[in-house]
Amino acid sequence: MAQVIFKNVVKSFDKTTVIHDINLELPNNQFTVFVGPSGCGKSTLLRLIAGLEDITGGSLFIDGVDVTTLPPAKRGVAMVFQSYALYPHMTVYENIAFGLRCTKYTRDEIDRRVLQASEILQLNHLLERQPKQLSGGQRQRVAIGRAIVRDPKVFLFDEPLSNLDASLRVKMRMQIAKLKNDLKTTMIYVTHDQTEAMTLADQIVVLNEGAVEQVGSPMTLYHHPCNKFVASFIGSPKMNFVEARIRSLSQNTATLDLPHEKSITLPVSLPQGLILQKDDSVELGVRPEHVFVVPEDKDGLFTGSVTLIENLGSEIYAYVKIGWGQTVLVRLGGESRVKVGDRLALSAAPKDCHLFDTKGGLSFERPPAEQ
Amino acid sequence: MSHPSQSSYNKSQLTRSRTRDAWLFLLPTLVVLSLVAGWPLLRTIWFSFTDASLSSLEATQFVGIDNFMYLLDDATWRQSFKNTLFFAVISVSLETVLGLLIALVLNAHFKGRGWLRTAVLIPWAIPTIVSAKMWGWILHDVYGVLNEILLFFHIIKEPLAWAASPDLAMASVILVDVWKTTPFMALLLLAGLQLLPQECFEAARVDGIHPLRVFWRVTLPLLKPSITVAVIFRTLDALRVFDLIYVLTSGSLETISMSVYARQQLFDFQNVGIGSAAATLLFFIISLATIGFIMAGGLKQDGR
Repeated sequence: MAQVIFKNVVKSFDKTTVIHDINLELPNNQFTVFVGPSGCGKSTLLRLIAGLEDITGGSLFIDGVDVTTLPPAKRGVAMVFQSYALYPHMTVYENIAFGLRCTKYTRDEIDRRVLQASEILQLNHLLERQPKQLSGGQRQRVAIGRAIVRDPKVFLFDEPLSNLDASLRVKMRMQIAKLKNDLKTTMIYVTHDQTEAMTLADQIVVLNEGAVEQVGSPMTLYHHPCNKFVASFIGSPKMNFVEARIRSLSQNTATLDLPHEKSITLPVSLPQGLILQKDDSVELGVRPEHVFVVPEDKDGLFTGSVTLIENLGSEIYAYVKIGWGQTVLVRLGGESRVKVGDRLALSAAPKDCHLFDTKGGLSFERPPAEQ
Repeated sequence: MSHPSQSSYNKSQLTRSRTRDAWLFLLPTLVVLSLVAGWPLLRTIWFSFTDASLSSLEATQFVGIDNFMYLLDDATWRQSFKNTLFFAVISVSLETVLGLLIALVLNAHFKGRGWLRTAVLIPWAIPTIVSAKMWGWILHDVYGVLNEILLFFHIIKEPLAWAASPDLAMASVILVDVWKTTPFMALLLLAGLQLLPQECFEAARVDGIHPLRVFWRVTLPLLKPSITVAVIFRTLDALRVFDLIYVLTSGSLETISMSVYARQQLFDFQNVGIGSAAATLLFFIISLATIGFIMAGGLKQDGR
């Protein structure tokens, strides 16, 4: 139970600054996910919270206490590592209990806590085993158990599922979701997998090159990405981006020229410092799942021929080559009989379209309504 | 691939040709080794069962195990055996403890670590003869700098004969060996430390476990394979100690080692038979120690 606050936090390794002036509030008892491509600083941010790295500038508060210079042990956090970090020579029981020994707890209390944690994580039958006798998923559960018994104010997860194979990852994801509901504690979770972020998070922090791109609920990020980076990072397969040109502007709308003399009119607003003029080039973003096939060429936003089909069984993704050398990915139902070379007319609802500045990638979208 | 027997035939053909190639590559080494190591070893073992002397290697007679009986009966050999064991146990223990301390320091992150790592290795890089001679002067009873310093600070009242006095000779030898070989030990253990999973230590830090407890309960158990290997290396080395003792305390009964004894019999007394027997016995003692270590340390081939 604790709020984590970053105030102008900067982190440099020698002369390389990896975290640039971050201001963040991670709400109490919420599940926050740090997501971003490799090297974006998400793990470093987590290690700053844990105290495994020193903060170069700014300050960090946990539960209202300035912990900027406190050692890890005094911060009331517990961390689950990507590589599990189990002590290979100890049994599961010893691994879970190790952090409790020599603390204020009595032997009975330690025993009670370990058994309780192993109950939650279904580890009871494994307590006498050594880590090398466990599967990857079991090892990760032990690592989580080690965190649970300490009853921390903040749980930190550093890419806990990335060493597991795909099916196990889905299973463990569900376990973590269940854990989140059972424990109702502040949890901070780092991943590069946007699916994990979308399914687990109450709040997602999208990071890129050591800076925050956007903070919001999974659905806010999905429906109202504030820039092209977030738009392309959240959602799978990723959003289509199509070059377009401003034909005309009105008070709250913009009409765009698209390839093959098509056009679309979208509601827009201008973020601070951005100007939009006639003939400016912009990018239209639309997710593959929001693109649909229309029967008549004249009703479509894009037309083109299919260059590649990816059949996933339940759904089919078709790559359609539209004008100006661009390709649009469209999701079709599994029953679709589209073949490579077919000509398709595609459309999308204006409400599902996003408009981005070509240079900075900022969105011209209206800010999302407060939830 | 359609005929399984055909494919397995091809496979074994391939395996056979690979095996043949491997032997071909090994052949030069095997020839050289059997000439420079195998032949002298067998010859030494043969001599140990004869009454050969340096002046008449040709006119020798087979005497069975007489030479070995003589050794076990000889007070000097028994002394050399005791000295060698004492030297090996004490010096290796000291080197392990000090080496581990140095390795832990060098494993920490601080400025100038690279320089220090190199500097620490200097004693090990000096040839033993040179460092033994050097220490011989440092420990010299009349001109030695050690006596000078100790006298200056009034720690001792009169100069001590470090290398010559019966009470101090062994301590001096151990001191010099520790000075020389601790860096090697530190290097082996440092290599081991750097292979340990860092996350385990980070997890311990986050969990607030006392550093001493982490050392005893995490570092040491995880480092055990490296320590075992290092101790085996050093013990085998210490059991055949020769040059240091020969140079520093030549001829002293207090420090004579099994190797020094063998050399003395061979060359000073020209008893090739007895000298060879002493060398052979040393060879078997070292072999036995190796086997014992491997069994006790539970050192399997995968290094666990």
